Amino acid sequence: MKLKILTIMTMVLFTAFKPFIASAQFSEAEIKAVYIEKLTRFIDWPAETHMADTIQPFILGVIGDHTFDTILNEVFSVLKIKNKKVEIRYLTNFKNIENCNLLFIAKSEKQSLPEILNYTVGHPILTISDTQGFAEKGVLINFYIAENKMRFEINQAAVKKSQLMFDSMLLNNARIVNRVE
Amino acid sequence: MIKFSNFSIKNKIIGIILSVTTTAILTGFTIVVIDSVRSSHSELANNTLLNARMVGEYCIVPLTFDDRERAAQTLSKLQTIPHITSGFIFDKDYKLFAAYNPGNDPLPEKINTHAEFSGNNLFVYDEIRFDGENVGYIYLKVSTAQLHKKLNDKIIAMIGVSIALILLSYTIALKLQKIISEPVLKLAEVTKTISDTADYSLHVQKQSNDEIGVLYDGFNNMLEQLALREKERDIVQQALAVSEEKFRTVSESSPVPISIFSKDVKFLYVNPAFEQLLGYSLTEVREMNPVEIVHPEMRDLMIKRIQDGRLGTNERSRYELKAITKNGVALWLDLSSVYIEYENKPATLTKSIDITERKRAEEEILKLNNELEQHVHERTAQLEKANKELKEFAYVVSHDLKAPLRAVSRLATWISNDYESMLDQTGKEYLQLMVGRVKRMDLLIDGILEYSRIGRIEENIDDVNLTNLVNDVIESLQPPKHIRIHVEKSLPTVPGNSIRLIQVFQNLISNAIYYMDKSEGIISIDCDEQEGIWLFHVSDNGPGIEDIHFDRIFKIFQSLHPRDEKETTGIGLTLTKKIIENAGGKIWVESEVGKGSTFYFTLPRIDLPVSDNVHINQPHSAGIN
Repeated sequence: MKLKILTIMTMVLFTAFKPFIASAQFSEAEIKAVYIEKLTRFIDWPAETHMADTIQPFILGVIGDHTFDTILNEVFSVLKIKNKKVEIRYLTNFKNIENCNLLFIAKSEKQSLPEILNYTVGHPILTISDTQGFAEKGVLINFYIAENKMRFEINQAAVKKSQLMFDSMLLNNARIVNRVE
Repeated sequence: MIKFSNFSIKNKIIGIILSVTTTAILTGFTIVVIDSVRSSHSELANNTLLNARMVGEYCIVPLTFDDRERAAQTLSKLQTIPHITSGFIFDKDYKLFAAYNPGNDPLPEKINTHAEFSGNNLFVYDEIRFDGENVGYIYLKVSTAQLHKKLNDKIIAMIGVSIALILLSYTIALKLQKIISEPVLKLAEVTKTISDTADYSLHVQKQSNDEIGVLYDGFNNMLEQLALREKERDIVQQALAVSEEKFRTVSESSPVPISIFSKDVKFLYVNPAFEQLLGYSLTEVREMNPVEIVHPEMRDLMIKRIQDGRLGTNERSRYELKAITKNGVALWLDLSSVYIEYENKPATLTKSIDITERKRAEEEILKLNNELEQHVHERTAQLEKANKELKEFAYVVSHDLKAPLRAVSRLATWISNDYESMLDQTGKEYLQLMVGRVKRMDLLIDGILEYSRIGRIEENIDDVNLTNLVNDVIESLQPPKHIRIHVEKSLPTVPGNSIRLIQVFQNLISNAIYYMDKSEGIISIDCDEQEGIWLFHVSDNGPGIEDIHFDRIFKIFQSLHPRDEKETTGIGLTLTKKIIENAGGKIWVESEVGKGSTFYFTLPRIDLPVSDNVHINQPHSAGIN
């Protein structure tokens, strides 16, 4: 376990510059977990979510049949989001998502996605997925693989409707879905 | 070496103006260039830094998510900025992340400054930070060649402008310098013309009222002065020539020997009269020492005089000199010298008048005078001796005569007393007559004694109040009723012996009373103040005296009346005269027969200084005042 933590630390520290091929030793799930943290750096939550209050945990919800196994718990036992401890909630019913700050939607939720999104759109919840087509459907950020590298796409229209503020730098460096002119 | 001070005024002014303008232009130029280089460098540095920041910011996300392609894409946008030759993004461990490097520049060294100019390049370094965390580094390399070309173009343009400005200012200076240089050059030209031609009638036309105008005025004024001086000098020179000619004529024909000698006592000129007098020609005297013409008796004196520097000074002097001629004849000369200028040098002009004859005559007269004085002394001594003897004789005789006379008187008394009964009337009368004659004889002898005493015996001199004295005298004389005596005004106080002064007034007044022949006699006494003397007069309206007797009456025993007619000793006026003369005065008489006489006598007036009187505090002074 201890060894594992050290590995994640190293990965977090080196992922920014290690070529992905060279970091083949890191799993896709690990990379996604680290990227989730990195993405939050470019996104601001509204004031009612008390992001400045570092005592309250950052709530990361995962819905559906995810592939993270225990990786998220391992990674976020080390990393903090917005300088807050991360509390991971594995959800079965999307009705429990209201307290989440971030919601990872697994591929399995393809059917209930509209319902989920219909709920999240009115709340300050960052939705992330790793399934092709999810972004077009309204998930804010969707991971994909291109040229053997982990990339992400952003639904700009959904971002505009959400209560979150995306750094333009992030938008400039991502594939944009539903571009808002 | 060409010295600036040797330049003409024109060139000096141009030089000064040009140096000022050039300095100003070059200084301005340099400042502008330096400022422009500095500002364009800093502008470039700032712009590049800004670009680096922006590009760096664009690379934050690619760096975060390891998106090298996007970073390269972002960097490739740098090609729109032409002077950026290359750009590099490094990750936070300083490993190359992305590059824009069309010219294949070598990887830059890590530098610490934000911007560094090196050669023709500018290197800009910036840290890329996100959320206070270092995410990487950016390097931009900028070619400054274009900037330098721009700057060079600017500098060349400015040099061109500067040259144009300097040329312009040279042209302006060339024109404007005339304002100052032209009047000065003109003045110089006129000055040169004047010094060449000596024509002081030239003038310069004044054109401005500045210092040069003042200079022109001064110059014109100076020229006028010079012209005036020249005119005056001509007049003076002419006058001098005339004067010299006159002098020459006068001195050549003058019978007075004239010589001129220099300050170091050398003969410069002698006239023919001088040549004739001393026997030396002009050529000869010029060669000789003037002392040689001085008689050996006086040479030492003369040499001393020369050594004292008393010759040749402008002191006008006159003295007598014994000279000796070439032939050895001694001459007395009366020399009178004046200081003159001869041939533009100080000199002494001396007139030498031959006074040998006069000198001889003077000596003769002096000799005679001395002899005469000797005679007078001898005679006076003889006379004084005789006088003294006479006085003593008179005294002795008178004194000795008194004893037998007393005996005769006593005998007559005895005869009169003891033999009265034996004498008849005639005998008695004779005896009476004898007693009378003896008495007169006694009075006579007293008078002579008194006379001889005056001047022989020292007498006390006091201040005598004559008013009181005369009143006392009148009272003591008890004049008869028909004679009125009055003192015209108050008489002065004089120094003298009161007894003698009583005798004077007593004699004169008693004589007047004594000889009065009128039924109403008037005697008046008065005094006039004259220069140095008091003039007293005692007048009467008596019988008067004939002119021929005026001198006689003052001589001893010269009574004008027969002894028997008037009982007088005939010595009174003689005594009076002697007293007056002894006191330094004179006495005389004026008279008209039948109408009266006036006796005048004087006494020297010695003014009594009042303050001295008080100061001395003589005991009798109170009585006088």
